[in-house]
Amino acid sequence: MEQKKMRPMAVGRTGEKTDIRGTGVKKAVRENPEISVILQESAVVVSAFYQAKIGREVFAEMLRQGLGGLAEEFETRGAVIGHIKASLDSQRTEMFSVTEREVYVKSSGEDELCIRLAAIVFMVDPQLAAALVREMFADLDRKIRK
Amino acid sequence: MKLLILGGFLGSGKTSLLMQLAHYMTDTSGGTALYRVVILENEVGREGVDDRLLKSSGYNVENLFAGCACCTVGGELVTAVSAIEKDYGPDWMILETTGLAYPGLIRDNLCHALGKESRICTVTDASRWARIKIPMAELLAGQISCADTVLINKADLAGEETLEGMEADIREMNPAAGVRRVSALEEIPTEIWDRVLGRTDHGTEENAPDGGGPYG
Repeated sequence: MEQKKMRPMAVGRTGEKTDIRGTGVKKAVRENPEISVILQESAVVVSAFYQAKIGREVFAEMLRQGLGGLAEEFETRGAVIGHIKASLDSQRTEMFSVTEREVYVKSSGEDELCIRLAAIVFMVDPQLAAALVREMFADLDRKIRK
Repeated sequence: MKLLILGGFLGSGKTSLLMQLAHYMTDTSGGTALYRVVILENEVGREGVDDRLLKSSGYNVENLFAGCACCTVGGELVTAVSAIEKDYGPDWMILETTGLAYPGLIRDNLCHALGKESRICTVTDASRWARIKIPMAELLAGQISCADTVLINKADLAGEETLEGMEADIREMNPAAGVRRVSALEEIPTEIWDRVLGRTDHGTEENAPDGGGPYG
């Protein structure tokens, strides 16, 4: 069977910004969401990495609805979904401090969330697929701000 | 080190079944584990999703991202398999392919490069078979025709007529494969895993085209 090469269509960009203290040290900043698209044979493969600060349970429900809406968007455009998968990792940091006897606990109160998404879809324009994924995350952004 | 290639179309339930298979192979409730296992997870996109679930379940998982092991990252696959054998020396390495992979190409690659034979288990999706069997015909046939065992997953979501038609389609693509109906939501009988692994000490004939299973 003939082996076909993967063709990169677009890659996520990594920006740079100068350290605010003027040290000249530049810190890499990931776009949020960071989205890339490749073609693998006839499949369009969209990968995304997204970060948010919000309660995990609340966001999980928002993501569930967002993924359902994304699937609907693909299907109404006649695309065939291979799969759309996402993982949700969360981290919450709490600081404990004591100087005498009493222990103080501080928490940011929000979870730091990392979402990794992989959407593999057939019969869809690669740029449209990326745009639909980007719009889903933009909609999540709007809901978080509310 | 023995090799099992777990293939099948996107969304067919490979990872869910792999979780059960790995549990069966590494369960120590009987005193010692049946096998020491390393999982090699191949995902075509830049972001891994399945590997995170497997790792968080405590399994030893290595990654091969951003390409398909049957074509674009075939060279990296050989390197990864060699490194796993050298570094871990497991009894089994299970490669979960991308849903776009042709497992037969992977088996040929590993055989030519490392002189290693592999078993192939292909997972199929009963709930979507009717919808995808025509648009994805070439890929499905490529994934099924090389399999030692074909698992018809999500059998609980399909009617008897659909399942019988699917079995006929699969047997047409691969008359020699053992074909079993399963549901990853339920416990898979150990006899089926033994067949997937090619263990014949349960008195069953290896790779008999036997259909059935819990939903048969």
